Amino acid sequence: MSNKKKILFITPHLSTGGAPQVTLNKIQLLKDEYEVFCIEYSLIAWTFVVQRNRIIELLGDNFVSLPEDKTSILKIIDIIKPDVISFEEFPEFFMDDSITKEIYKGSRSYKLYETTHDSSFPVHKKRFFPDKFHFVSAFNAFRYSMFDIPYEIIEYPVDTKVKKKRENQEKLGLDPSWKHVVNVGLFTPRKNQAYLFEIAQRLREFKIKFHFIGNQADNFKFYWEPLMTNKPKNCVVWGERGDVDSFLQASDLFFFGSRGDRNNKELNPIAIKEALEYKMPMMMYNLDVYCGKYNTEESITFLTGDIETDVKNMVIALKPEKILNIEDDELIIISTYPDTSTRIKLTKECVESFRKTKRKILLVSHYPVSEEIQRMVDYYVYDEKNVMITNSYYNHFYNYKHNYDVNINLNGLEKPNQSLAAMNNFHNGVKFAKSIGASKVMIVTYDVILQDQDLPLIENYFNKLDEWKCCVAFMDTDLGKGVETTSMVFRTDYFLDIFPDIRNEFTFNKQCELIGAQNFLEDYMYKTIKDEVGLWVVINQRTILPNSGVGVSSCSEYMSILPIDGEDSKLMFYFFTYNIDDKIVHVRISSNDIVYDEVVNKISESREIQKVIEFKGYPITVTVDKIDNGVIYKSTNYEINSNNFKSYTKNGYFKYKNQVKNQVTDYKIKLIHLQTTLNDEREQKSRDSLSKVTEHGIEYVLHQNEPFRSLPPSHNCLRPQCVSMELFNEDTTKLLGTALTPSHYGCYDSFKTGILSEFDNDLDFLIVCEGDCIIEVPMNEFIDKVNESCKIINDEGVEYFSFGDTKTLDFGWHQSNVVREIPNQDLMFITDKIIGLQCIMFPKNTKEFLFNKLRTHKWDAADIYFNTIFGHNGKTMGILKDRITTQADGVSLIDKEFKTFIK
Amino acid sequence: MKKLIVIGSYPNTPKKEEVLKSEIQSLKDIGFDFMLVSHYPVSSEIQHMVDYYIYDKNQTLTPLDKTTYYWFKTDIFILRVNNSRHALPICQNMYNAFKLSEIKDYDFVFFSENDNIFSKEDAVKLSDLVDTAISENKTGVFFKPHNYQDNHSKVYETQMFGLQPKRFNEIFKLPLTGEDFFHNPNYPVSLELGFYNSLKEYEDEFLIVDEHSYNYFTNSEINIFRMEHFIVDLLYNSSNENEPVLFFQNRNNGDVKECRLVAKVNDDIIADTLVQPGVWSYQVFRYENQTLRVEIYMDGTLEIVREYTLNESLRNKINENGIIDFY
Repeated sequence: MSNKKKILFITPHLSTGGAPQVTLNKIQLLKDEYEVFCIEYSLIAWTFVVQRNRIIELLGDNFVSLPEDKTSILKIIDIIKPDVISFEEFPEFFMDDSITKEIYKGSRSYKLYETTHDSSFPVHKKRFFPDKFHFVSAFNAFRYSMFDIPYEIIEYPVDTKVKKKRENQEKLGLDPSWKHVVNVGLFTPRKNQAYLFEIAQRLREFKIKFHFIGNQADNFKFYWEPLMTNKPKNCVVWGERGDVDSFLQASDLFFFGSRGDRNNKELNPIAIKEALEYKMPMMMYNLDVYCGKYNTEESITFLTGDIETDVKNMVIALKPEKILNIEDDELIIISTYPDTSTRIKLTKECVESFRKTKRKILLVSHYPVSEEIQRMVDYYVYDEKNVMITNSYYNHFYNYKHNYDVNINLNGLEKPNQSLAAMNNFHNGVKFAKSIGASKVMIVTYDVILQDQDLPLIENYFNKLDEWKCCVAFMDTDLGKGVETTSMVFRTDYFLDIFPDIRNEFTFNKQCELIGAQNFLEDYMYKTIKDEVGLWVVINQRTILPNSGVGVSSCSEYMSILPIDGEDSKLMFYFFTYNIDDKIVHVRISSNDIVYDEVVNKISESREIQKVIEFKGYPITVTVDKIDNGVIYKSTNYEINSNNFKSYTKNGYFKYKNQVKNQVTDYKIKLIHLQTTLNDEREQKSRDSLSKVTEHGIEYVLHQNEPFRSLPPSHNCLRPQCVSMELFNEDTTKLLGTALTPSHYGCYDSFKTGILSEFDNDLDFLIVCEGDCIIEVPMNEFIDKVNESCKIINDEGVEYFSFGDTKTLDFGWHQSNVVREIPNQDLMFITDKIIGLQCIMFPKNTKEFLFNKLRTHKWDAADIYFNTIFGHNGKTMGILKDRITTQADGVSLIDKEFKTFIK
Repeated sequence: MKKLIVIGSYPNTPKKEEVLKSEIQSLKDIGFDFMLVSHYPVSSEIQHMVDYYIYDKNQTLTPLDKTTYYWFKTDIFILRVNNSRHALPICQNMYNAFKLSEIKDYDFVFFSENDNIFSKEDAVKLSDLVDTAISENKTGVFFKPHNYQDNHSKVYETQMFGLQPKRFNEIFKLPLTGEDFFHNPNYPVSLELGFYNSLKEYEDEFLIVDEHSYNYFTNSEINIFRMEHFIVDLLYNSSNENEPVLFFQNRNNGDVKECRLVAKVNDDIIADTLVQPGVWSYQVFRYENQTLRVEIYMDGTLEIVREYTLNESLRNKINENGIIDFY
């Protein structure tokens, strides 16, 4: 049993405010010398209970909150048997008279003390009288002195303290280069926060932040809600806080705008006293309830109520720096890499769309930006170093199809990861923002086009940065959450503090390791900030700009040179893109500067390129030109030679599946493809078709000849009378025969040159194809038929052979007569005439004869020429019964008209 | 030790572009990184030549009451051409460059205007000068010509100078607005004098070269655009404010063999004439919403372009170009 005297405090409520603070203060001072009890008459709300919680911590079971039945207080008093009961507010304000009468009965065994925190209660309405008043200010002592009841004035103590400004600014995340004004109190008309909002609005061009601490209770919603709707950007509303003291220490000025009116006045606000403890500059009204006690406080500037004067006085008190341009405080940073017309277009659209934010725009890039785009923005920072790195996680690209598998080691051919380059761009932008005084930045990528519906969100995000460090959205990645990096809003200082400015791959990977991240941007940023507090994360949206999206441009292109499964001497050039645009990828395969194979691929037509490269020991160069609008914006060479061939085997693999293995020829065959430098569409189609023979063991050689445009020679022509620049009309044709034009001569000459230059001694067969030749059957079938033909040709002594049609391709007129059927096969027959030269073949044993004739025999149209030299010399000619090659439709050089052929 | 050369540029003519390229090329081999700063957009080709490039659209000209100017008096008029208002934009360029170079941890920055082409040996001399400053723990290098004064004061050349960006940003707040710009009630303050007044108290920290930079780098072409060979501008006419006056004068002393002026109104050529050395002339216009473009070719190269739209907007600010008073 304690011998201490018992004091019971009765408080109307303990919702945060000045009165509960005084009660708390009393309890803190008395609890060691007395046995202290506290009864809360009503619990108004479970929120805003900072002081209530502290009292409960101090008193434990000695704290009671009354139930619905308020008469229970009488039983509690009876149990406690206090020596003193202290009413923390006049009972007239909150207690039922019947209960009050019982407590104030004359036969009571305890002393009754009262205080009040109100200055407006009419004195004549006081009906219950205690043994003593404990007033918190002289003002009420004077008013209630008429009752002749003893009183004492117990002012809330003011203890001088030393401010730890920088420390507390750091703790609260306040920018030390700005001035900070703090206001404390429940948002009510009496506390008059509206006046400070108005002052803040007028001081927007200065580096001043206005901080409001205090709850926004529902019963005062009518007051604070309109204020919040029009909150100036330099105002930060923190709500109720348990660290008011930190705010006071961190701030440069305490503002107390409470004015009150006839029936609703302050009394002796504790907030003023707390500020006085730090001797910090203050602005407040000099109310009569203060009885002049602050008149001599040098740190106080009294408010006048004249906004012009008060604004001026605040500037004098704070001496704030001006913001150069108010919009300079918030900057839009657009990160771009405008190397293609699509990206240039998107960058322009992005810049144009973000103009609507009315903020300055800074463009950052590792690729030079056009003068036109520079003129569209306010600032532009170019950094030449575009540091690409290897992937630590996304290190393979897979494309599994029905008939082949592709597995690319993304780190094999070149470094594919642009995360560090992107971070470097961000850093350049944010550092520049810092250097021009911008404290907040929005970072977006060039392919995010801002939609109007997102404009208010951007305003909101920038405002949020007064309280939060950043506004971001999280996205799903293979590793869990990641930061969505196409649009993010950061405080400049926070970004620079949290993300180290790393400029090389090694250090970046080390940093990733340190934080347990893979080295892709989303994971790296997420793992860096995931344990931070004060981040505003937008939920249920994949980006902070839901209407604008996450960008429309993918940079994902995959390219490599891969080993082909089961083919030791072959590699596959492979390209795949997810983009659909008008770019062209031109792949050339050359040796000793001579291009012997190529692919020209329009992305809009095909997003994938496959090209087999056979390595025979001599060096090969693979050149990949990426072309946009006729301009090569990226050209890369890959060398394949004996020293590095094995290194390509580490790049992944290409594997054929569900298909018959490529048929290969049983003979050594070379195919010469005779084209012109016109390189028209039908020649390109023809090249696509024929070049595939390389995958089946046939050597492919392309000859591109300038079209012959002069009058052909007549002295060595079989039909000199027919030599002409143009085709003859019908009458002349009947008279002289078919004209021999420059195109006829060009055709003949290309055959002659091709055969003489390419029919090597080690070949078993030479195939010669015209520029528009198309293989009509699947390649394996073609190779089968070539093999079979070669065997029969050798067996039967055929010296000139055609894979083309026995009829004319345009009208289907019969041309090749059957001279002799060959027994035990149904593939070919012996003929006396071959009309189409789109795909003909000569065996090795014809070479000498052929060379001799080509060098000495007079020329004619190529088909007539070959029929002449072979037919007139008793040579055997053969032709397939069913053609496997034809001509592509298109403009014929010889006939000078668009021709379509029988399919 | 990270060293950076910053070139302040405004390549708005082909000639200036060429000189800029030559300047970058002339300093390429001495081991510095390069940063370019400009208020005028720079071509992709030039961007490819440097490590960093900063473009800043905002170009606030030096206030009229604080700028130096060109004046000329004859028997019939006196005029003032405000042709030196770029001191403030130059400061803005410097500010951008020094702030970013500090943040990017450069130890020493050498700033050069975009009209200096260095010979090989002078490029090495520049590098040595910076290295000497670093080895002697100097925070800056300034050219302070012993034989030159401006309003009875020495100056620091701003054509080129070197410094530690961190230290410089600490001790010198470059003017960024008209209000900030160097001011003396009795006379306008040039950029060189402004630098000297602001930094002379720190002179012990600097390596001082007591001559003009063009006398130090004797084998180089320094300050190529130093002399304005040709004055041309559309001026406010105090005698008749509705009739602005295009004034031009060839001030070339013979270095340039042929100065040619081409004037176009709405793309129609109204004048195409050679202007001999020393010759001046003027032409009166009216505000009729026409466009006026004046091109000055020196020895066949387009070196100066002036473009005006003669409308109300121009009328309201034409006095910023200069004023001509006819007696």
